[in-house]
Amino acid sequence: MLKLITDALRGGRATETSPGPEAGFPGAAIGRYELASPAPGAAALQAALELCPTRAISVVPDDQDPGCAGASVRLDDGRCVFCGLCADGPGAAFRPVAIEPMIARSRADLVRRFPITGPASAFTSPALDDGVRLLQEGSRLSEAIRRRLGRSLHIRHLDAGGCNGCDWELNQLQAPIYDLQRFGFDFVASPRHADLLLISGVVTANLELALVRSLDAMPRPRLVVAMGACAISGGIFGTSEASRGGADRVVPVDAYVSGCPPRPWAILRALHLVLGP
Amino acid sequence: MTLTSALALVRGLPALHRLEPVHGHHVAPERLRAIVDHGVADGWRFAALLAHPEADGVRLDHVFMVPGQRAPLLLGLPALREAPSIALACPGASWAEREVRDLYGVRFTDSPDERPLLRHPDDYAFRHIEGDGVMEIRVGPIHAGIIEPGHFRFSAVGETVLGLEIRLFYVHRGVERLARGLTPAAALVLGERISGSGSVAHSLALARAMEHALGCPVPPAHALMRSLLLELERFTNHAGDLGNLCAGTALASLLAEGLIIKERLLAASQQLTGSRWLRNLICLGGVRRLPGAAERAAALALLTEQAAALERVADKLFGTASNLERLTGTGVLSPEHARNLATVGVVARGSGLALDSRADLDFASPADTEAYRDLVVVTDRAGDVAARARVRVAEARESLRLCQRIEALLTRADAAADAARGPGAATRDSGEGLGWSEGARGELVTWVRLEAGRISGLRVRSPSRMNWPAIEHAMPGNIVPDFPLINKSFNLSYAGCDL
Repeated sequence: MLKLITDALRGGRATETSPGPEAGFPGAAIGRYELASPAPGAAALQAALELCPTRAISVVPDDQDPGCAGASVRLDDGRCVFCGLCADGPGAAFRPVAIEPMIARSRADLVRRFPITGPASAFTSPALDDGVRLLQEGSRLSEAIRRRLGRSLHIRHLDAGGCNGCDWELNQLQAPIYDLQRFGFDFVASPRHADLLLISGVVTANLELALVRSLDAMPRPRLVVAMGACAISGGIFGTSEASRGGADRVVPVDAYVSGCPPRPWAILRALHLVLGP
Repeated sequence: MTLTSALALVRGLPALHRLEPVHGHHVAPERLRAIVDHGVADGWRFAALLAHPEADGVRLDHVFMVPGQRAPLLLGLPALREAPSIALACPGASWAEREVRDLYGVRFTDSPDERPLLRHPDDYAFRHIEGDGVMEIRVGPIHAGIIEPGHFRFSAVGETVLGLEIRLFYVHRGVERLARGLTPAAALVLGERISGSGSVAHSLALARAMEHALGCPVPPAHALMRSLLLELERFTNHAGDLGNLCAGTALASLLAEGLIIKERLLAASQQLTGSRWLRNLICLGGVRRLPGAAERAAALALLTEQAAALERVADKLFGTASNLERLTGTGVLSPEHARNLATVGVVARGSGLALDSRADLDFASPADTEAYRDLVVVTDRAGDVAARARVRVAEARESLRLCQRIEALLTRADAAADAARGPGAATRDSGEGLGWSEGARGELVTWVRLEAGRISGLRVRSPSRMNWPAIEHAMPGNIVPDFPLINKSFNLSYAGCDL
């Protein structure tokens, strides 16, 4: 027992300083992919379109400039599983960037556009279904929550059907390195004790009811955050007879944090985002 | 029956050429049970049930591991809609048969368990234990901590558990169906996301299965790099598991130390591969890119440093009497149960079974054979939480040694030369293949079928699938509050099991 105490004291402080919004993340992790060149070779871009296993990449006419015959490459960070096939594959139309991953209050804000020369019709682009029913925009209650709770935010995590990568990253948030309690955040055992429901994984058919009931059990006001490609869009598992897809097809979502899985710092940043400045 | 007699029974049967060089035989359905009965008596271990729908039914192959045989043995049934159940002789096959029934509609005659496995109807018939003072405690699917979903039903008298029933498949995502139509590259992205903490184990077994199917060689440096990733994944998991075990005994300082070690290793993994979960490197024929000598050296230095930290954690974990007392005699899985349920990995080795596919089965690549040539398979006879913890400590130590050995092999000049060559190329675009890996949780067997470069069939048999039912047998006689501790000592993947 004495050894436990002396070792703990000798170990010193392991907690890392939270990086500021500009500082980026420690350890130079890949946070996003971007178009490697504003004028990508048609073959390279078409290869990337076909390689992307989650249809995160598409080419669309540049509707922001209707007079122009140009096009945009759209990269949806809510779908991206950070597999890097678009960067490692033939032509390498994309490249990884060590930067903060996309975190947003609106699903649409996770989509980035890169203008390119040449018409969109030159490419075979995946048919996207994001025009379809996002259930509803989030409750945008952060102001009410903040007034009522200050910065004491209690989080209930729910794995609705992921690979457990997100779960293990959340476990690391409790490690001394990140120490999420220092920000006033904490994980709680029951949705009845929670202000925020943190969802990872696709919503499987077998967990849809548990998800809805967990949210119902929470006191109001309440917030919902979808973490990782599965919870945002269905990710690699998509929509199937076993899965309903992203969480916002079943419950309203207030914020999204991209990644597969998102890194602990990104999750912390998302929690700060929903609470406002 | 002696060993030779059960094998002799099979050798008289026509050979199954489909998965050569893996040996198999065609078996008439009515003879299957007799053969399996003899095989089980001779120590055969059920490993997987392969299924592939065809025009006139579903083709089934039973995969067994046979003592002394360096490759799995396949018993192939013709395409059929009704097959004999082998679950009475091999209880470890019960979940596989229920899964194949749910996924492919095959009926199993004389099955001991007719209930659905993947689907969750409202009227599911749980087992009931009745009697004076027996109460039922239902837990989950949503648990109190940050953990995957699953349902546990305890029958207890006071605090003492009489029986436990585990119902899983809440995170069933339909992986095997989703794989159909995918290219090998896309399938590996899916494979890496079957179970996050087993990303390497899953993608490696899938890559090896596809390489078998497509006749794709793996250059030595590429094979070595993948094994380095596998051992790094094992070390990271074992370190995290040992820390987590202390959450079950409320030894907070060691939990914190374990989490710190794990975080350092995740950071090292990211430096090495770009991914904290060692993803995005394994590809058909090898690795997408071979990290340079300097990157590998940095990762290895960090691993060596964290291995020393893990030794200090282990000293305290076993050296603190109040902690050791909680681990000892708790959650005992007897060697008989471990064997009958066909358990694998740390769970099997913690109950005295010396099985490890890295030692027992042949590698496709001679470089892997060289890397693992003197692997020490660690076993412990006690079968309790402490035994599984001791196995993890010893295996982490062995993984460090293997990483150093692999690195030494990688730095040889010839390895450096073939690193520049890139991954191997497929020699055909269709075929069937069987692959395996020994991940942190144990043996993983993957079968795949490709047609014109796309996947048309996939079966994944994860170590967790074999080991989950064993917890039901380790729990009776223990107290309910020790369940989290016992569960952590198994540390199985829900996602890896549920697929």
